[in-house]
Amino acid sequence: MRYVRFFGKLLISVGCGVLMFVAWTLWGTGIYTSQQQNQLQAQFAHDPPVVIEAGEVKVPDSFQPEPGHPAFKLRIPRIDFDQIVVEGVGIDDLHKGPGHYPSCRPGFDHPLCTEFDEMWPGENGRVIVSGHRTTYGAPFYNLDKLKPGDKVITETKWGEFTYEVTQTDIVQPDSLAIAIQNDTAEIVLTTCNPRFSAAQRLIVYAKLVA
Amino acid sequence: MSENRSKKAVIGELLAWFGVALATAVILVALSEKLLPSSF
Repeated sequence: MRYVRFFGKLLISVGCGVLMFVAWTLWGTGIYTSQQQNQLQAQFAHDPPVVIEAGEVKVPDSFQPEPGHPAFKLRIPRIDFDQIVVEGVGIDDLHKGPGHYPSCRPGFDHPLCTEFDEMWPGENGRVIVSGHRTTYGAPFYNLDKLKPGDKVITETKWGEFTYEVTQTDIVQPDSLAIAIQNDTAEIVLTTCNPRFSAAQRLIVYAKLVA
Repeated sequence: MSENRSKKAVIGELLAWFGVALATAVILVALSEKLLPSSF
């Protein structure tokens, strides 16, 4: 009887621990991200402008934010989204907000970087942004609601660029197709799919229009 | 049986079980950081 009572108490305690874990995952992580976003907003506002030459947009190579530092601001009116995108897609980076897929350089290692040139909003190439679907503020919780024609707006230190959603896709988690660069000025948003699962990846493609 | 136990002993036991719950939560958080993809 004594052992049964002990085992019962143990199960109740472990159950409480599981509930605490769920509460932290669904809400606690969001509070953390919200605090980080407030700091990033202030930091982004204070960052100096990046001067680019007239004509085709080409961000200078000297613009290389550190991991987890503000890269640009992303707004998606359709899903009421407005957050700072940080540099990098590592675990710590995505805890702060959506992350900009970087090129491989000091601070960014495989597989969380690309050997292709890093693309920035406005440039002729693919800007890739990854974000959480269900935890850490769930920035891309409603990404599946986007339809062709919806606006994706990037505010950068060298100007504002508007993209328009062209298509959405669902791929396997190990698909590397989106990391391949091309000459089309577009932004690609990725997150886990379906919600509360990591079985697939949801991809939203948007083309530069202004 | 618990009627004979002092308040101190009961509180001590509750704290111990709370510690077990907390440790479970911490282990699960650590595991989830390792096992779940970064964009979960």
